Amino acid sequence: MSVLAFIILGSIIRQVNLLMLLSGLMIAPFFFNWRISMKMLEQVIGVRRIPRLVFAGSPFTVGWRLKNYRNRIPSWGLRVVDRIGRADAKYMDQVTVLVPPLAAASEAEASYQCLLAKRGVYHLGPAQISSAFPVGLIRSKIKIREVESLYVAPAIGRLHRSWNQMTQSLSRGEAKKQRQHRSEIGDFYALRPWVTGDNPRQVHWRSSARHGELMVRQNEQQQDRRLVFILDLFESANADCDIEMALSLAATVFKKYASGSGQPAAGVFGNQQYVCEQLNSTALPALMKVLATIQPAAANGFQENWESWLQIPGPRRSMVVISTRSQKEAFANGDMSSFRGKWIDLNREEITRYFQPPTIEPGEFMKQIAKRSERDA
Amino acid sequence: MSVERILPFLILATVALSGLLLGMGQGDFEPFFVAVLGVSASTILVDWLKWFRLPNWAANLLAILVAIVTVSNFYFTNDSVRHLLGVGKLLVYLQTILTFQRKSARVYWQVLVLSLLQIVVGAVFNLGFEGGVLFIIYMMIAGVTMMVLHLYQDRQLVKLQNESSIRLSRSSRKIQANAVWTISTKPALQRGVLRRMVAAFLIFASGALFFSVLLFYFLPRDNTSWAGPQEIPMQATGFDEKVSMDHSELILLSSKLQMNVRYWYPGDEQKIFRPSREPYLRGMALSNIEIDGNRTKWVAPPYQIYASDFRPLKMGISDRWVTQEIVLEPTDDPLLYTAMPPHFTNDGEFLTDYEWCWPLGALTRQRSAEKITLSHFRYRLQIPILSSGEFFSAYPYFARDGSVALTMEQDPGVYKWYTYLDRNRYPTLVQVAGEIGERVADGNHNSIARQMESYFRSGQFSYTLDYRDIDRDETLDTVEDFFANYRAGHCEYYASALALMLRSQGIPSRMVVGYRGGDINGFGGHLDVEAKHAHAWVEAYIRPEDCSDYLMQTGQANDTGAWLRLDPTPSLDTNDAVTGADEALDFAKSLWRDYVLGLQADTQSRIVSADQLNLSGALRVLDLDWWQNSLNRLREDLQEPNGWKRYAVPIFIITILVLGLVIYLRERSLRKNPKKRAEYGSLRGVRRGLARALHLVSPRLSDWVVRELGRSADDVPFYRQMLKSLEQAGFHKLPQQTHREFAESVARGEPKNEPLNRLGTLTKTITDSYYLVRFGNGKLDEQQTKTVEIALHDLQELLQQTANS
Repeated sequence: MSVLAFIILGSIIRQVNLLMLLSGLMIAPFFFNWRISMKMLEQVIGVRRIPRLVFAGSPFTVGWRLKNYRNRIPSWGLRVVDRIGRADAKYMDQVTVLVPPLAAASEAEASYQCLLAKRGVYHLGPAQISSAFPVGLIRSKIKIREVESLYVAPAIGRLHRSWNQMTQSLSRGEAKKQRQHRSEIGDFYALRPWVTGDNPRQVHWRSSARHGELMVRQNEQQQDRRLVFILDLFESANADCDIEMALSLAATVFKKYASGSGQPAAGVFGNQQYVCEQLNSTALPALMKVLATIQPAAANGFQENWESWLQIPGPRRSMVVISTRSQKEAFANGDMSSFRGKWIDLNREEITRYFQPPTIEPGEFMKQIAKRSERDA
Repeated sequence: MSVERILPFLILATVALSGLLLGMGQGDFEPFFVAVLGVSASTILVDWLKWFRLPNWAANLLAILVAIVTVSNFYFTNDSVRHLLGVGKLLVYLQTILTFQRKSARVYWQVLVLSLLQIVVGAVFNLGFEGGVLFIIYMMIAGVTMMVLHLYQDRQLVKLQNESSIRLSRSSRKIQANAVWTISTKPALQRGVLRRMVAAFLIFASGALFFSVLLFYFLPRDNTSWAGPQEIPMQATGFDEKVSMDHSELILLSSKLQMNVRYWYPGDEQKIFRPSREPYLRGMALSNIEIDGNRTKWVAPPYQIYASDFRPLKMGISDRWVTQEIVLEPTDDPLLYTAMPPHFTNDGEFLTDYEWCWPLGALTRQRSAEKITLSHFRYRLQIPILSSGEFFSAYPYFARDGSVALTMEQDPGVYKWYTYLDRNRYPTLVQVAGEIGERVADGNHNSIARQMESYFRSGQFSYTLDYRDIDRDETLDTVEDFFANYRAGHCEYYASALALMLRSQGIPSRMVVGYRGGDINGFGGHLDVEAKHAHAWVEAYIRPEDCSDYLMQTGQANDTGAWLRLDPTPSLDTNDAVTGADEALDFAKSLWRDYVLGLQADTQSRIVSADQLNLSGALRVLDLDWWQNSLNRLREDLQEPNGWKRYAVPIFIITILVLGLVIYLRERSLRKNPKKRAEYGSLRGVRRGLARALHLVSPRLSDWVVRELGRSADDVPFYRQMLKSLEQAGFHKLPQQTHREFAESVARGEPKNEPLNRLGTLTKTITDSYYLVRFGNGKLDEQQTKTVEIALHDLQELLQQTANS
């Protein structure tokens, strides 16, 4: 701008015609750039698309779908500047996303990969769609003021084999403990043709010989007891446990069992209480939303809810409680004998037997994402 | 090609053009070579090979050093022109230093800004028409560069953002509570998008150009205010023209434009006056003879010229006169050229200080009216003409002391000056002059002078510019040698010899240098006077008693005598064949000069005044008389020799426009016709381009080419036959289909969606054989040929049955 001002002033003061022409040729691009860039944004609608479920430490994609509602004029040089940051943070990070050329009456998708370190509530927006097409002298912008909240669940870790053994034994009961080393689960139900992925041990060789193709045994699903996972976040002065690890374990467990077929129940007790009668993929987001923001509390409602748990009709239950206190402490005023299941006290080293906490190496992670992004481009 | 690859080439083109424009403006092409070599070297060494790169601190240091050196030079001169030259070079050096840094969007922008500033400096020096064309090209390329740079900047922004994110994430081994890391995906630039963007940009650029032209003509101008053009002090230098008779080489004719001259009758600029004979545009008189060895030199008086030697011009007194407008090409010489005798015009716009310098016998201008830009200089004078439509061949003499009316003979000092001659140096010349003088019984100077002039045109002398084969006598004076021996030369020799002959007979004379004639420009109605029109002739003083009644009556002589113009040079047509294109170019140059470079406040007000913008002119097309007059004028023009040339450019432009429109409409119809598109799509590469190009001229010719070229693409007869049969049955091979895919589609019954298994099998059989021929060993054995023939026969039969049913 200063160069332009210098040239215009110089041309008028010194009456140099070529400089005047040059001034015109410089002012004109500014004017036309402004008009065209405004035009590029007319009738262009942008919508942010965020995943339903986001875990700390796991990358996710924030997509922007832009639609050009004009029938004749394309939109070029569009850029989306999005903002993302913790709800309680003072500053938000800014992400610039380039939108592919948007033909007339068409849609285009732009996205960025995001990795958030910690669970919690994050805000996305307000965002800005802008264009400086064609020469980048003036940028026109439209603001999308809506701010979306993104609940980021605790990071997902890895459950050890001992966890599986423990939960299997709980679900089947002690009497069937011997069978857990066998690959077959449940009673014989029928024979069916072999499909890829079937355990070769299940092959029924005699039937296979008779039918001329591999046949496998299909067993009845055995589920004697219903598992109930409870996270008990109790705040006490002498507690010396890692709350985030408890949350991470709970999130890992909930995620694992939500996609299974057993349909266990789940409950979370802290400064918020949430009970999920049937843990499945539909119920998981709401549960994770609670995990994203929950904090320990001295009166977390665990004992108050305990009795109601016992009253619920249905199959027998095996409880797995992940707690920041010992079982004795939890049932100091209640009947401990009613508890059947596993109490995992985070104050003891016991948790390491079952769970490996997440190890996030953002550097490597981002590098991989960037490489993939470059390759895709 | 990616944006990252295109950008360096565009930057190079921009830098080269700005360097060239700066060089054209400054008349020094060093900046151009420095810019091109610098940027090319940096692109290769820094960007491609990555051998070398200037760190920021080093680049800054170098830039400061270069700036200091340039600015320090300002102290050694007060010449603002030199300052500007220095600034121009400084910009180029800074730009070159910049390009040796690591390239980023910021660096590229800075390079572009420096390039633009070079244009600014170049523009101060006023670019000619060619410069103007380059200037427009520069703006276009700079615009495209900016567009690509803008895309590059966006991509760089994302790249840097991603890099920063990765860097931060790598340094954060321990997870921080607020850490957010993002990676944006960079969309690939789809094929053809850049081309479409450039096309859109060209529309943008046209709009911008139109806008800037409007702005240019409406931007306020005020020549009278403090903000007027910068002046440079007057210096009475430049009168060092001299003629030396020492040529020994081939003198080349230069077509460098010197000036444009236009004449019109008073009161109506559209009423062009075309003199019946070539006008003599007088420059200055060379009155002194200098002897250098065996060479005779004609020079201007070497002594000091006083202010009293300058005389203002008089107002026109003749009842027959025309207005002469001359536009001089940029020059720092105060000498003005004119037909004789010049008078002031009463046009207030041009009523400036032109003065007649008596000792030099030259019209001069005051340099104070000139811009620093050494711009074109336009002046108008009033010139008397004869009833025959010729300019005066003589003009009245007036004494050095303007207050008294003296003949030259009454002023002995002047008479001696104009008759000085060393007679011994030119024995033959003096002898012949004496013989001619004796032939005139009454000793009339006018008659003697005329006879001497005709002596040179009697066929004994020839005109030449080639002195390479002339055998000279080194013992003789060059003019005597010319006159006595080889008798071939150019105007300076003839003028010199005649002036000496006149002096030998006591007739005061002097050589005059200037221009004779010029190329008539049919578009502008003016004369383009080029360097090749430079000429030398003689002015002889004729006593009042020797002046004819005709000279006296027409005002060419008065009581103090007259200077009579004599041109002894035998004619030689030095004009090249002037084509319509040359004329158009010259006309374009004059438009550029008049309406861009030379646009002043008064011209501007005239152009944008309401009179010029009214609709009455446009409404003339409704007047049948106007049409009739226009057609008559056209017929008259066409009857003139070469009259058609005036219409060549408009016809050319109209033809181009019509062709463009036809091409556009054809192209649009092609785009909307899927069948045609599919036909062209079946061709590849050059063939497709050829067919499409021909379609723009003649769709029929194009169809024929498509058939012929299409045949060569699938030049396997049995396959062609199969395609033809299938096409008749409604199966068309789509351009995007491979031969096998087409066979599959036939087998599936597409596009009719009917199962035609038998037909599919036959098609596949023929297609397999086709693959064998086209991509295999090139021929089928006997068995295979038989199979194909049977399959083809069956296929045709089957199609026939299907058609009958």
